Amino acid sequence: MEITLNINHEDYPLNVPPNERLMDTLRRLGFFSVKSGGCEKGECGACAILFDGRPVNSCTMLTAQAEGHQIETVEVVGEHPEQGWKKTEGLHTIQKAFVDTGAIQCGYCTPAMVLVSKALLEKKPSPTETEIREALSGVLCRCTGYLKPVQAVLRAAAILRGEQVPPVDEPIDISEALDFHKDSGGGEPLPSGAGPLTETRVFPKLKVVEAHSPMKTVGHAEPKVDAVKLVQGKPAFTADFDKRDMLVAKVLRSPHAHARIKHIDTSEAKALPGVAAVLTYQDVPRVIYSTAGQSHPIPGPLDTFSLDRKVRFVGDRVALVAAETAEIAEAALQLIKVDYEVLPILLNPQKAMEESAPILHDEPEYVNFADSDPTKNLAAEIKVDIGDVEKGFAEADHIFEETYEVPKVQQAHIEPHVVITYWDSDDRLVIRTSTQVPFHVRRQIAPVLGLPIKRIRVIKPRIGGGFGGKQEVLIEDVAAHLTIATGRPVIYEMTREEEFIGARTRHPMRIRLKTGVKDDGTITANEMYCLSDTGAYGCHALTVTGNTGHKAMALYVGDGPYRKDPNIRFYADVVYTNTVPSGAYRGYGVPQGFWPVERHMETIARELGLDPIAFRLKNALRSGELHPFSTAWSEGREPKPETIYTIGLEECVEQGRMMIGWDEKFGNDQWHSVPGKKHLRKGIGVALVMQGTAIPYLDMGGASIKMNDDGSFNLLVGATDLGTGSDTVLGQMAAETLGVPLEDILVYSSDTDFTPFDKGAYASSTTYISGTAVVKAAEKVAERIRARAALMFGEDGIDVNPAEILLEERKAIAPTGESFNFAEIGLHALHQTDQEQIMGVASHMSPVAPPPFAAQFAEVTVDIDSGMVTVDKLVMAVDSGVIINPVTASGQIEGGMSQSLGYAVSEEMVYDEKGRPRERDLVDYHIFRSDEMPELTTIFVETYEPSHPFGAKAVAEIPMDGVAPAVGNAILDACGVSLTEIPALPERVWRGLKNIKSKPA
Amino acid sequence: MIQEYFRPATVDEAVALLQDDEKLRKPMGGGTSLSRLGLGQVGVVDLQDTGLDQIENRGQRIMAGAMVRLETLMTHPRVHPEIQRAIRIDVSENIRNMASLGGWLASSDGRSIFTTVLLALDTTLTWAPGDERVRMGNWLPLRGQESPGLFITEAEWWMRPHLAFEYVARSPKDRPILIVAVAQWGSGRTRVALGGTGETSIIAMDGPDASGIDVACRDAYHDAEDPWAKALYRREVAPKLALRCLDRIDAIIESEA
Repeated sequence: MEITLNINHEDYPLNVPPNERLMDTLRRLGFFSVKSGGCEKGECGACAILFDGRPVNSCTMLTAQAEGHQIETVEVVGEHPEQGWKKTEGLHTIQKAFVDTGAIQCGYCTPAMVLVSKALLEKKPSPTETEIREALSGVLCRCTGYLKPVQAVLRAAAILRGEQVPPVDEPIDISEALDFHKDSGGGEPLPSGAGPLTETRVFPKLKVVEAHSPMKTVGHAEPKVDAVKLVQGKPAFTADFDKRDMLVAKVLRSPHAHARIKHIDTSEAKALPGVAAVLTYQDVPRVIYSTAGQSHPIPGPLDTFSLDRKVRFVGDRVALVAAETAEIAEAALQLIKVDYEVLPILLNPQKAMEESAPILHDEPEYVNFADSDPTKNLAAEIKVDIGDVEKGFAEADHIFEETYEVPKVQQAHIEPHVVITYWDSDDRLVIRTSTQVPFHVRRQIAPVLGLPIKRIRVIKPRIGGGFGGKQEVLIEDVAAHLTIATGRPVIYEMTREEEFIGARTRHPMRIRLKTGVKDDGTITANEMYCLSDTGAYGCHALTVTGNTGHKAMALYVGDGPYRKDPNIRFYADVVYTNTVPSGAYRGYGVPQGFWPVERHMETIARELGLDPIAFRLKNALRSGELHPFSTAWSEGREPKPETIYTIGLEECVEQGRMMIGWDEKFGNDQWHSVPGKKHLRKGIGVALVMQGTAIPYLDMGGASIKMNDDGSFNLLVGATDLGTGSDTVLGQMAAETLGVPLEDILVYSSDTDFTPFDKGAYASSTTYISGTAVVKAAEKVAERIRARAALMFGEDGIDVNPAEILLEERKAIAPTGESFNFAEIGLHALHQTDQEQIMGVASHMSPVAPPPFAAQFAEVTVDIDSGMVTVDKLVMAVDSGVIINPVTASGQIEGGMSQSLGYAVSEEMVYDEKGRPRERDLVDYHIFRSDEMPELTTIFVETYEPSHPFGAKAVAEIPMDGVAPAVGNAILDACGVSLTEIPALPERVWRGLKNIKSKPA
Repeated sequence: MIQEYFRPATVDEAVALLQDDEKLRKPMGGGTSLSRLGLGQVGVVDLQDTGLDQIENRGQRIMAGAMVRLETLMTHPRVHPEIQRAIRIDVSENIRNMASLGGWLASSDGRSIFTTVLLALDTTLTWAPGDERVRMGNWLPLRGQESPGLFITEAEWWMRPHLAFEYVARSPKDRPILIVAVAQWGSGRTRVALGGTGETSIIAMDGPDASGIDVACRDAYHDAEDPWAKALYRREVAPKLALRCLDRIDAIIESEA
């Protein structure tokens, strides 16, 4: 139909089909700021536009509905301030505020947030924080926890009102400790109506370490290097890339949890006009592999085929279709006739190893890893004994035993999995994909496609969040098989429903804990048995569950003689069931472990009448002690003893308890009640946690840096920024080493043809591993710059020892004070004398994995009539070593706390008796909106980790670990209900309350 | 698949389009989910230009056209604050800006607080063609089976009753698993609607006073079991929430005295 749309104040005469969605039309016209979250009910809001000045979702509107209305996208809001000779007005104030405050992480939802904020501020120049949160409530963000976007809007509002705002990166003398309560307001709510006070919250509370000298870039709140691009909604993501003649792929998925395909007829689908290919297991090579994106050799069973004659969960692949349009591809799926032999299903992991259990993996090609045994539905088995656990139990005065459970949950990144494949002019297969592990994708997919690695190029553009869900070779083969079959480019983008039924999840686990304790609170032995459910395939089965013990069971070694010789046992069985496969999810098994451990510690402390914090610290690891598991188990190679040198846990506890007001609230009966509301009880809880920083002897990252003739540098890294800001912190470390501002470092990450290898974004390793590689490469470049400068000084008759040349402020400065700027040096090296390309390449692998530590506090209100839990406040004090970028790092903590808040109270994936998933969208699978978030506070307590050039440890995963148990402990504190299972559903808490009431006094 | 799109300028034009027996056509209220229009070959009749977007007082009742956007309703000064709160919890701003009152009533399920609150207020719906007026409580149980007309043109509810609702969800803005909405008229008439489960909200009680409200809730939820909560839970918690609603209404009445 013929219509005219007014987009960004220009008329567009169009011929559109009546069924076309506005989102699709806008993207077809090149307005790539309008993003798809794959949803059907507008629940994510990434596709928001302004419609007559009001934010609406363009995915739930027909294009025809928009005729006669004014449409605005972010493309019209602002643009890059410097475009050569062309004068521009630059970014809008709101966009600048988003950039400055660190409100952008992956950036996928950012254009929508900017538009929503613009609409709000045009209507209401002085919004309250509540009003801002409500305005943002239609745009889901899985990265930020919404705090910084709210701050960005407050800041923009203040600027637009003409108020002065303080700089985001407040000058900090990092040799001095900050007064923690100087600007906190004692935890009081912020004043409404915005104003300069609010912006000071952007910089997290940071207690600095004194072990290093002040730095110019490291330690500062540098804006993200990709922020300007993302805030404009530039076509930076996989699906924003267009290719002529591109086909659209769709996947037929199994309606049965376990079935054999007796017959499959694709003839009608193939005959449908516009269908280019239909592939089944009969068409593609039968190559067994693992989808887990991990280093070679894959530490897990090989149990997956691109397409198989058997399906093992509702949502498993049956057939692939490529067609001219998505509608034709979907229609073709309906025409594929499949005759299934439905098989008995296995849903209960506790029955998986019973003799009568249905066997999921009876394929002869199955390749075992270690103790996996498909005849028992066993994907992995772990047995770790440290010390003498039985002796430890015998020495205890008390034994505490309990069983805990954690649910299956989804990463729920807002950008779905998406990939584009095509043959380039050299007949090499290009895979442009939203992945955390581009190099693993290339290596692992090659045999599946029958191509040598060298004929595959994997490009990782910007990623709209991953959280482990994209540490998987999950979709690339779909598009690649279809490109091979048709010779044409193919795009495959998962819908939100496919994300739930066909992607990956966190492993649900049932965990038995047994702990021996002396009367004085000394832990004498600790034992964990973990039954982990890997779902239908064993991707990450061994390593995720291994980390459950490796981190969660390592924190409490015991006191006195037990410190040196702790008694710890960790046994685990990882079993198959007919549910969507579990896999990597931020935290990688550790959140599952800390739920039971920290709930257990709370129970023990309370039953023994001990102070819960003192009891924990008495038994926790201390600096200079061995990581207890380092002699027994390693995710990567053979275990080697590893001493932990930096543990800021006690300081974290002190800062966190001050911030949340622990001493005034814990044990204070008056505080626990809510005046005028008899049905409400308040509670406070704590959990101490640790994570890892990379995988020792395994993770490797590479970097290369070259100098340009204007004195700028290209930094090429294989490391994968999935929205975390890793490109920025890597750039900061390079800039610091080279003595230039961050803007002179042009960071390009992850293209297997052009960047050095990197294992990818997982295991909290990028700042530590890839960062060290960057510093090593930068040091090599610095050495060449000094040598070049010495040559230039020599040409001027000044004799200088290169080692004495200082690199600072874009200059090489001789001890005498003479200097050359980097532009002069770049020109000299490339064009003038003894020409050379100044560059450095380096890589890094670490023999250690220094853990970050944290104290997580939570405050809740429980409705004792209904069991509904409201989390009011989360405070996390973190020792992540030296913080390279306080704003991006605190964004990681805030976002992580928000994700784990869902793990604590609302998120779970439930299956019916036929294995059909209940959760298929972001309505039923509720992730927190901006207008229901608790108050979030982040505190960094720096330590100086000697194994990193700037003293850094990991920050990305640790916020996932403590929220659930801290909330669980706060619920106990509020109403006496000792939950063993999350999420803390109202009915679950209510049953606990009923049990308490029914017990005799 | 949508094969035709129409945007009539009047209700009569819309009726004529929808009465074409040879075509399967559906009214389009706002745009909260295109998939609700179904997979068949359909035409859609977009009601945005039909003038059904007025809000006006009619004595002790308030009338809202079916095409009033939920955001407009939520910010209207004459709309009860509890209705505004219900909309705010149910729907985020982006969707409120597009979703229409009529579309919401036609498509929301039992887990909508807003729908439950309107049911408690004994809302009357007017249908086209023919301006047939049907009480929401009579229509909702039959929604999907019988329709009093082609589409809703307006909804009308009492402004004067005191109104309170309570709900239970996994988080403050999650879809509730239990909703209790109580409307109480000056005469003492007390009407209780329940939600949080099923295809539609239900009426638990409509009596001359509030006596027996707890029993009514318990009975109405007797079989209210679904994958989200047990019936026992709903049966035992709903009465407490209903009594809490009454307490809140009493407090309001007291403050007004």
